[in-house]
Amino acid sequence: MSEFVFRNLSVKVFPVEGDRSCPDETVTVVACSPCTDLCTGTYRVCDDLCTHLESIPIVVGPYCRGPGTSPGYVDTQTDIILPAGDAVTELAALKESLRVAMSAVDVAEQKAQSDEGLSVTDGIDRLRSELLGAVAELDEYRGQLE
Amino acid sequence: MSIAASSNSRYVSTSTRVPAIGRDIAVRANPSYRLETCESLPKATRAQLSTVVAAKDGVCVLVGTPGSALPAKLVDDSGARLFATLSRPGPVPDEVARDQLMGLVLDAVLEVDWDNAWVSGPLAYEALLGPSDPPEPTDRLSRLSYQAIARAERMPLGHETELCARLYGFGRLPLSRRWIRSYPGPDAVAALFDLDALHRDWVIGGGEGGRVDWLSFSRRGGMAAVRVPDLPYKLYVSPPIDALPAVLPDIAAALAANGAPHFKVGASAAGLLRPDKIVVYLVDAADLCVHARALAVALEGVGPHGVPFSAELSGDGLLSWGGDPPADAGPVGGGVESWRLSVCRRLAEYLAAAKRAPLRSLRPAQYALGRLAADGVTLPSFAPASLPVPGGLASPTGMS
Repeated sequence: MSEFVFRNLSVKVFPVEGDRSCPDETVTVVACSPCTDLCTGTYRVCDDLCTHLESIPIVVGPYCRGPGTSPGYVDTQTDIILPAGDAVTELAALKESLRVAMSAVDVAEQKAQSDEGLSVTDGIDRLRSELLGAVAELDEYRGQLE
Repeated sequence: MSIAASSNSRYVSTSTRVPAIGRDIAVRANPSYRLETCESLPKATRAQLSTVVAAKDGVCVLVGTPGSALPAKLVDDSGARLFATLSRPGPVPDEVARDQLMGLVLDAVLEVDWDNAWVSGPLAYEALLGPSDPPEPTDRLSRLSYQAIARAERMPLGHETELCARLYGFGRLPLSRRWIRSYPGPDAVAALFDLDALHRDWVIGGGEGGRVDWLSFSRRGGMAAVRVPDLPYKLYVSPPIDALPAVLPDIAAALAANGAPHFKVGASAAGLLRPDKIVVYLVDAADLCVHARALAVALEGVGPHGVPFSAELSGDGLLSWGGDPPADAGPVGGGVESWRLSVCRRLAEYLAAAKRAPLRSLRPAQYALGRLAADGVTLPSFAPASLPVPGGLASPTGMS
């Protein structure tokens, strides 16, 4: 019997042909809490602002995976535009994804600034409210398990 | 040898962990994959590929068609010939063993004709094997592991990376300001030890690649030359974070007294809030037993945190074990995986594939656990089936 090797690749590879456009044309920025996951050992992607932007340059994908997903990037070392295609179109798409990402940064920045204005008691009240919400979520999860 | 490991698939007919498919069935190459040679790829994509593999002429890859969500695969010559041959449906080629065929079908490289439909991956598993429940969890750690999988199954996350992170991070405690203040970095963690004894017995190292995620301790003397890759067994020591000031000196002393070659401790609050905050690397099962017994004595009365996806040793999750997979077990270019990361990555891949498939009765968790068992992970203990089970302690039972 023969041996056949089919090993998954850690990088995504575009099809030679096919639709590379993002099917989700109406991306919206979601305001979400900064990621609190400890990423050691697991993530190649660390996305503190939940924009799903890849933090390493070798990851590209033809599919939209959520708000702010970048369909490509410019490798700052080689100046190669990925995915390959019409440079003007690709750069426009990249600029648009950057705009979306910057919007997410703005949301987080505004939230951080508004937090700074909170009094200690306001902060405690808000934390209490968030904790109660988390407890309710836990109760719901426990209920599902039972 | 695994025949169905999704990311390091060498389909060699030496294992029967996965039930075989009859030879009278029609097969074809999965049309959602396209076989490309390196030279046929766009220049930029080829540059992309060259970051993880020598992208020279003749190298073949399977590339998923848009919308398929199939991972790209590096293919050897015989695999490329098989895929090209089966671009037209036909009988199972003679050179493909029945168990190889099942592995190729479950990994969605090939499809089989089943009830007038072409199926592969989770759909093929459902059609050919049907739903079956994995062995019931038998201890606290296996229950934790199953809970992690059940939670990941329910999460509205479809991407493997996200699912893997949730599985791998299951059981971590929140990184609160209290703990960040207590353990901001390696110096604060090192200060928990008896430093005189520590420097007498161990060579202390920092993190890898400039990062200080772990404080590493290598035994002074004869064992200092033993490298971690030569130590296949991992002993996880999992006391709660607030017990560390009391127990870390005792742990280091017990390990030194019994000649442990290497161990590591999380280098900051984030690392100490992981369940697998202390990992001891050991040479064989007997050595693991010696150290587990010594640590059980040193840690008597200490409560457990508990490491999911590791095999129970002490009955409550305080001590458990695993074994790192081969260095090339993960995806090509993805770096070396730890045992728990390897298990979680594969579970995530299987869960994601099952969530995408229009299954009728098979649940994603059933599929993921069934595939994991076929990969050589003993269930429900999540012990590596390739390593002898440490004797004299709780033995994993169940399917593998």
